[in-house]
Amino acid sequence: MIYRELPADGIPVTQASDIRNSDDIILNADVVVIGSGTGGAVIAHELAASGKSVIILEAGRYVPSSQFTEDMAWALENLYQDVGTQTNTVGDTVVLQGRCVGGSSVVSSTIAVRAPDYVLESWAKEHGIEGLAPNKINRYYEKVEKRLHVHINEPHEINDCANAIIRGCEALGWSWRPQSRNVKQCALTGHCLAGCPSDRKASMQVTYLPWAIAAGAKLYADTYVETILMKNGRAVGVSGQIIDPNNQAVVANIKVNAQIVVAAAGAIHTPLLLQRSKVPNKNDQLGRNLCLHPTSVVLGKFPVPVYGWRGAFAGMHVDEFLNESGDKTLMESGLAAPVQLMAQNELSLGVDHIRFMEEFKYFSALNVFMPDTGHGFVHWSGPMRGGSKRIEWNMTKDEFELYKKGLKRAGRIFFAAGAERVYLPTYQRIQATSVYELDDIVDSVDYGALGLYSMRLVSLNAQGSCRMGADRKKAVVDPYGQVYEVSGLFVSDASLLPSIAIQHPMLTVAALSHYIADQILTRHQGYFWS
Amino acid sequence: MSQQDPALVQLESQLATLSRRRFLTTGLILGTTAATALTYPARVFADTGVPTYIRHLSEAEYRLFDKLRQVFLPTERFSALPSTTEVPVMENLDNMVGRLNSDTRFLLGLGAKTLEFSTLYKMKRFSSLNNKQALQQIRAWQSGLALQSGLIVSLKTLLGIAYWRDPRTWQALEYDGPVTTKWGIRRLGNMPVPRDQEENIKI
Repeated sequence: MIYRELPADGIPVTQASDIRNSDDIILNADVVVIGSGTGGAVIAHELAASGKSVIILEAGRYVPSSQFTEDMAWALENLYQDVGTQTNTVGDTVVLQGRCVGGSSVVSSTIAVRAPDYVLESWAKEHGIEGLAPNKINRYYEKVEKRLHVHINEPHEINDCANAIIRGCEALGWSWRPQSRNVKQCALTGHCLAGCPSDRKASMQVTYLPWAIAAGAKLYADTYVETILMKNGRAVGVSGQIIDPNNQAVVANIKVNAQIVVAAAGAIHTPLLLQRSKVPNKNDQLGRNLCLHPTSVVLGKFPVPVYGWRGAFAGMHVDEFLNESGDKTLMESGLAAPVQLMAQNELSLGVDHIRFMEEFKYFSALNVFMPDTGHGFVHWSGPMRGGSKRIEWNMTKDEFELYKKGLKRAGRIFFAAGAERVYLPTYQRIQATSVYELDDIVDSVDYGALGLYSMRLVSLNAQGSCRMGADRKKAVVDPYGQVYEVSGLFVSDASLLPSIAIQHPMLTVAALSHYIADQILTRHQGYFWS
Repeated sequence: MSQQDPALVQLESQLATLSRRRFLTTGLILGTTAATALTYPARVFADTGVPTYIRHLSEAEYRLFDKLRQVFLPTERFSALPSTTEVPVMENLDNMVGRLNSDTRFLLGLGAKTLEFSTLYKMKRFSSLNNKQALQQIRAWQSGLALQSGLIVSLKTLLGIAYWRDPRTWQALEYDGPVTTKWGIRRLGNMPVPRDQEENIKI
């Protein structure tokens, strides 16, 4: 493939502000991709680079990286889904995801880690997806790692927030590893979650999307796909609306006729799109098996300033419990802006609240990820236009107990490192001042009614809601990425993952998208009549 | 009755003077008292106006958040911090609320109204409590029913973001804020297109 000229900075994107009249827009392409995050951008590039005409439709706005402000509150309003307030139905778990050109890759913490081999093996054996066996998918991992500048943190990329945790791990004899990150020449600003204004984070906005465009793909932002068009069980395109992000006014209707449709809107929005489109759901699996991989932050307050937000956000993770026989609780360092404390940990009031905030420079933060078991469900409620999403997820009693175990471990690490106090992320205001009282304090947290409002949880890694598998009674998508019930309709995002990936899924999604692109180009050439 | 409508008080007084039959007067006084009680909720709910810069919060929401602001963020006791009026907390909050999706916005409105009027058994809205009473009330909610606790924590989260997002608050925390421009970090732009030959990876 010969690429056309690659812009040095920014990407050409058609936005609502570019639409001059309200006439319906009708486009034709070989492939239409819904979503410009990791799953969408990778597959769009691979197909465009092989000569297919590709159109990418992104519901979020285009904010060039030159406009990123390194202000978390601004980022929530401009780069995140529902201004950072997307939650489960009950409202006790925030489900964060990017909503902009580049999707979650723009606001990721840059953690890029493979799924453990035992997970890949279970996907190959238990779910019948041979292509995901370690010896097969590793080649795709290797490719995306190289393209996204994935490397293991060097010592200067491990900040003092992480160093405090490392001290604790080493005192306890627990294994830890530097994070692997997709970043080139990191400037150590610590503002990853608000987007990288110097383009050092290898997000889709500076990698696969401009490459796809250089290979001939077209990208539309502000474009909400309402439905996938189908004819006789075959996907033939999509229809939607171009919406002004400033006032939510519909600027134009858009229809794209395509030979292949790829849904890559993420584990929350892809099943919603398929449900709105009335994709047959004979096995009742569409939207089910959702894992949120929830996390919350435990704070250790040290007697001397840590300035935990300085340096690379993602320094290290504790891998002591991630092996096959462990309980697979992931813990990793990371402290962002003061507003992060509002969303995850802060429960005090008045003078106490301000004193707590004044301790900010003394904090190290350990994010505890609990591997949930896929009991979540995402569904569209109401009519296609005017309906709304529902994310049904509540922590089970077993998950609650596992979570408490994680909190105790985090507390132990901090006390072993010399912390004088540990703040725990529950809806009750609790803190421990010594390791001796830690277990009793954590055990005092009550599961209550269905675990509602027990822990302050945030999900960064929603996955599994259109799972892939060889058994069509249990899966939505076949082992090659195609939806069982609709030919020509493919999925390319974290909704495919057959079970929780244990690690952050970004890199796995990128590798999987490469794999699916190859399946389309080898197994399904017949779909392309051009 | 301290909460009685002045117009009804005046009417009662006039009737007491004009009436020739004591039982009628008594009946009317009882009647107007009942009317006072019956119309009290309506008067409690009546709009009293919000500042013109507030475009999205309702009157009840504004009053609730404004009381929360005073109780949650007593910045006047900390000289290094800007006040919650110097930082336009309510305006920031209003802008944030204006950007919520319709479902979340609806739930926020419902939750805020529930809390604002849940103290009516004390014959006062939450926003009419003094700061000490309000603080006690919030503590009670926070340690009360799970949903109540979740709701008040969510409202506090919004309010906290509306304050701590302002760069003027960061100096007291020694938080650096944005640094890329300050440090003169060069932008790298788009990364070069991949060359599979150079990658030397066969798939």
